[in-house]
Amino acid sequence: MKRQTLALTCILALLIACMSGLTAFAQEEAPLEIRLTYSDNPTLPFSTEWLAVKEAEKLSNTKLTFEVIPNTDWTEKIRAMLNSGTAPDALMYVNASSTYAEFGLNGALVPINDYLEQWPNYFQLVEDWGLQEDIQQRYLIDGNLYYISELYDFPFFDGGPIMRTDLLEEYGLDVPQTFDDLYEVAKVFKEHYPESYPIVNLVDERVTYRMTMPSFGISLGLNASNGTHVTSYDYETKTTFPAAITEQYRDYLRYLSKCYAEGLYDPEFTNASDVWATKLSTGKAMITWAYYDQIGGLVANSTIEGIAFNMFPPLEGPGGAYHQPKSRTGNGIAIPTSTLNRRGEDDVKKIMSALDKIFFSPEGSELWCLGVEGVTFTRGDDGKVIFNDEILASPDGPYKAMQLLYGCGTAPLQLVWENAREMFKYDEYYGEVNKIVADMGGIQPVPPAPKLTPDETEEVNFIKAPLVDLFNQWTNEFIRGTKNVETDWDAYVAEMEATDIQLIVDIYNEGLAR
Amino acid sequence: MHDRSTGYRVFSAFNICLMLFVLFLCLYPFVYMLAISFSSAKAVINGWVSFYPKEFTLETYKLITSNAQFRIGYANTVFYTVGGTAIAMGLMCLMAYPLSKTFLRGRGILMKIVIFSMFFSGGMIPNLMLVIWLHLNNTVWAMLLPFAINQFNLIILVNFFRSLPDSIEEAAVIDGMGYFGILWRIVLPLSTPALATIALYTAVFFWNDWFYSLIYMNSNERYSVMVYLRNIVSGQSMAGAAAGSGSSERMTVYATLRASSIILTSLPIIILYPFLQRFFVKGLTIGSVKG
Repeated sequence: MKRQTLALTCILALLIACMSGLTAFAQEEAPLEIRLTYSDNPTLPFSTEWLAVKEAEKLSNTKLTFEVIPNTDWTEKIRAMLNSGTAPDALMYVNASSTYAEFGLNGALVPINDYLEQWPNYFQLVEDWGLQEDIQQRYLIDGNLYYISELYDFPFFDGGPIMRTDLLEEYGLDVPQTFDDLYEVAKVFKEHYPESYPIVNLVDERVTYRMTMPSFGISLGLNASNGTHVTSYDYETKTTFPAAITEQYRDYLRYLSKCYAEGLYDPEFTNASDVWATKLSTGKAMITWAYYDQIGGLVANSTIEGIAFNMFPPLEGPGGAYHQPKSRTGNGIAIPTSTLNRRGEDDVKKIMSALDKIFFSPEGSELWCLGVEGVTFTRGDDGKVIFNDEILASPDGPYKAMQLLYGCGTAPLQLVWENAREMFKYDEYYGEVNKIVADMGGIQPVPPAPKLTPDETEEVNFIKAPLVDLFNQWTNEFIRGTKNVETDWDAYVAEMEATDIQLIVDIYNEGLAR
Repeated sequence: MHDRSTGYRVFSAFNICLMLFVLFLCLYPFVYMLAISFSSAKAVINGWVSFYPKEFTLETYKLITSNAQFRIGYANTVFYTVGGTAIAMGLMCLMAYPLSKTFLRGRGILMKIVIFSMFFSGGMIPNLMLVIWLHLNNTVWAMLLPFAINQFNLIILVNFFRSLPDSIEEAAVIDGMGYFGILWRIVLPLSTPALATIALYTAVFFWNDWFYSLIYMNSNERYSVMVYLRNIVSGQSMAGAAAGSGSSERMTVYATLRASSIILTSLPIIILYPFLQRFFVKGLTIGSVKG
């Protein structure tokens, strides 16, 4: 009898255990499926094996599927997806360009401001880092916010003037502090290497323009910030002005045309990055504006003994010493309206909450930056991050190695950029130069985007095309000396005015006042 | 052999030199690419490469062929090219043959529809919507079916079929052959120049396509290799269009990698051309003249 009772009790216990197990299993929620875009580039091809992606799935109980889009045709593909209603659940790497404003205003994107409570981690960071005003500027004219941007505690000085330090030392030259100093240094280089053109553009002249113009009080070229390429923002009066026809711009042209005329500025304005590297590695050029992480490649492939490059803080010009304006809110996440229609509001809320956890929670943001503690890095007693041997041994350096091996630090996926944490991936000098630039206030914020109506946007686009063509043509001719910046200037200004530069300024200022 | 004048010999010598020079101009870019693809990055960056490889290495080829994205893209492109060309040739022949018959009722209106759609297409988004409604997007059929009938090629084929003597077909009918038999056993074998020409056009279209692959597909598993190649070759020229973040111009794709990608992706078509060139020229002439 005792045996029977014991057996019965065992069976009963087993049954209860099984049932409770089944209940627990039933309660365990299935992972939430989210489809996202990834902007792919050939030097950083997306991998489904990336540790960061797998850990992010675990962290948020999701199944992430990435639709990989080559970055060359990114905008084209996103347009096609949004127009046809086939966009995935969330679009990553969305920016504040007029394209997205157009889609937002036309109802193709979900207004994020209707779902702010789904983003607690994001808004905590916004508050901690004092980014409320920056976020406010992302609201469009209809009063809606259409994307959740990445966040920076303060902007990085990741690129700037780079020059041959071995030659500076050899000829007893000080590191230039101003554009006039740079001119003198370039002249000395030219004297010793008459075949060279000391100053060279990376990719094309617009990279140089955008990194140097702010020191002349203007910001044209590629990173026009306001998208017109012919106007700039006055940080004191908080208004737009027609920079392309100002004396500041004339000074800038005087400087570059002088360098060009004396053979100090490479006449080949366009240089693919490998051509650019060849010129610098072989001593055909010595000064450029580029990115700190490119220096290693220049030195590694050179046969010049003792060749050395370094990056320095922005040079001082008539308008101060500034690098290109930078935003503390960059690319980010948008939710297409088709997701709302396809998956319903409850699911969209869940997706938003999951994305908030994946990218903006303390665990998530550390994951995308450093990886997993104990796997990709450990912490020393002083709290300093020590990367694993695989990362440290990589010839690409920690930053690139972490991207390629683990998917950490990839621009489309890392959305929280904390300067001190990022500096673990670089050498000490990079941290120092960043500090110097931060202390000198060398990076101005990107000017606020004017709130334009769709009609105004269209009008600006209509005026902009011929104006930018005209501007590019004259700029080229002024620098190359086929037009004289002293004698032909009035004709240039008259032509720019006749092509309605002032109209763009007026529309922008009206938009800024809203 | 008769004696040739000095003038003729001078002219011939000049002619040969000129042709060799033109040949050199045409071949040099390819030879240069080939040399770069087999050279070390250091040799290229220091400008040592001009005609033949320096510091010979197969590293970039190893690197690129070990890249999963490249391999998948390459396999996709081969599949799209072979499958797409086969489907296109089959369907175009089946459409062109009846349209070549003047006694076919409604032939005129059908031809007008074909010609109308050649000049006025729906555009990118309507085509994409159609592909989506048919549930073809992100499947191989999105590449194989929408391009099956190319109007221009169809017209060439219709005109070629029309140029064949009716008497041959009449003889076949008398011998008891049906239309499919006539098409398969008589018309197609007599039309090899036109078929080769159109097959080449179609194969080159599928091989070179990146745009439709990009638009109709949503994953690396489906993209053609040309999407990958375009990203490598054009990636840096996007710097001007970037938002100023600098991510594009930071992207240094080594010239060796670009060159080996270009060589590997253009090789099959380069190999194919000499074999079909004969048919290509003849076919083009016949189709157009008879039209």
